[in-house]
Amino acid sequence: MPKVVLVTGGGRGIGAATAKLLAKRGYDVAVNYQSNITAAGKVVREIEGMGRRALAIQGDVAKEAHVVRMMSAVEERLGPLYGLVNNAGITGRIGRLDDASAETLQSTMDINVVGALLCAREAVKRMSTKHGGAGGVIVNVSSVATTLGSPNTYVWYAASKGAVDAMTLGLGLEVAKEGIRVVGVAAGLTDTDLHAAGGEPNRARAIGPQVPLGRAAQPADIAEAIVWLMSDDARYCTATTLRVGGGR
Amino acid sequence: MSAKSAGVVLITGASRGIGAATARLAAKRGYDVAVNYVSNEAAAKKVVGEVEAAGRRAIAVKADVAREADILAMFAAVDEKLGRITGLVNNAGIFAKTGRVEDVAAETVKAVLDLNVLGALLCAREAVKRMSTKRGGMGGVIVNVSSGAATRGSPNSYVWYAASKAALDAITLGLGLEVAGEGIRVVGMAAGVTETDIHTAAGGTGRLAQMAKMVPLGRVAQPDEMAEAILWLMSDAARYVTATTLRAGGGL
Repeated sequence: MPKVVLVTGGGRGIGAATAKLLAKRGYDVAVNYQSNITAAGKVVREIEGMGRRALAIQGDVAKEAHVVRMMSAVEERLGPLYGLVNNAGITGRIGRLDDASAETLQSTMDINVVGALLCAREAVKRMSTKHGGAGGVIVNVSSVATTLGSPNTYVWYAASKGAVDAMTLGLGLEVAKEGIRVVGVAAGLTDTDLHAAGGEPNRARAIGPQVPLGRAAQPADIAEAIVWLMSDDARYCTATTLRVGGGR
Repeated sequence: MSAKSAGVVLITGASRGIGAATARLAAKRGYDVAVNYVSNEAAAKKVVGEVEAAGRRAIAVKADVAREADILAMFAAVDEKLGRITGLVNNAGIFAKTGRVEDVAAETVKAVLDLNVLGALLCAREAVKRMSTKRGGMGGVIVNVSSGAATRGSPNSYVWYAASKAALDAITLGLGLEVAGEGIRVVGMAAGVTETDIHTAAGGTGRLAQMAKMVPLGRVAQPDEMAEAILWLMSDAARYVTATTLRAGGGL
């Protein structure tokens, strides 16, 4: 019986690459999306093409009712949840804090932090051996921004990912004896449309050469780390975040 | 002999513990392996036999990694017998004794730093000379075996060991940035409390049982589990990971 993993924000970028790599390694995958059903559907078809089961599932992770409904639907359609990849995240419009709107700050925190916490809560309820579950793994997609701080770019995004890292540590310790590992991947500059959404579509190409490794990451580079941490090979890794930043 | 070699890896302190487990797993993943040891020739030869049984080439190479002359001779032997290395695992390490700083002998501190820091730096230097694309090399990966002690400090146990591993983490960061543009990744793996004879030597199995209680996951690590992390970091799957240390500590 294949293990079932839910990837939030799985229709695009790092999430889509992760969903596809998980399928390649034998997992069944629930692909959450907020609005782009076409992109999510494409990922689902690719996964099905690999002979695995997949499900596109709409849901705004910032909304509790959506998260609860999404988790129930995944279990009903694919079976017991083994893994959660808390990948859905936004940066808001790139700029300085003194120019940022309250809405930008609020929505960044709502999706990146509250959403990740709610998804993790629902996952723990289903995975914890204390609740009759079979254990599992939660991978939080973080960012090297947590230690760089991202001045003049998105301090609020860096702050939100700092909160995610604290959650990886704290929740990881909280459920360590309940069969659940909680790990993070701090992604570096990655070539996805996250930057276009922030108003700088060329950011990955422009800054890539400044990364010590000399290039921006491809989504597949980050997905490899996420999928390894999800695997049994990483069974002694928990409550910690792996930096995948090319030296940043 | 099976498929084409995945590369040539030199593992220091590979006759026992995490080093031996890493050598065995490296062979399984297709690498040829140089097994460094300092005194236990029989154990090193056993590991060599296991690597060869997996269909890969291996040599046992004696060297005290705290001594430059030994290191130079070791790298020359690997060059000659296995070819140019693509990977180095700086694994050899000791904490020598447990105790408080106020009671420690200068010789203990010096022995720990000579092996864990100076030795790792010299091995890394020799590896960079061979791997750097700037010097005509083909690139490669250096994995430094560190410890969660680097951030915990290990009060009342071995502050000097913690200090040596924090220095090693700084090497991972600094050297990683120094050679990032030369085809070399430098990564660290901070091991948790692992069931090896480094602990048995320091206080028997009772010590490990005591330490297991402090680990959030509720048990100590097996050497194989540390080897998995090391080999993943060495693999192409970790191609965007450099100048950073992965914590494999079971929550510690």
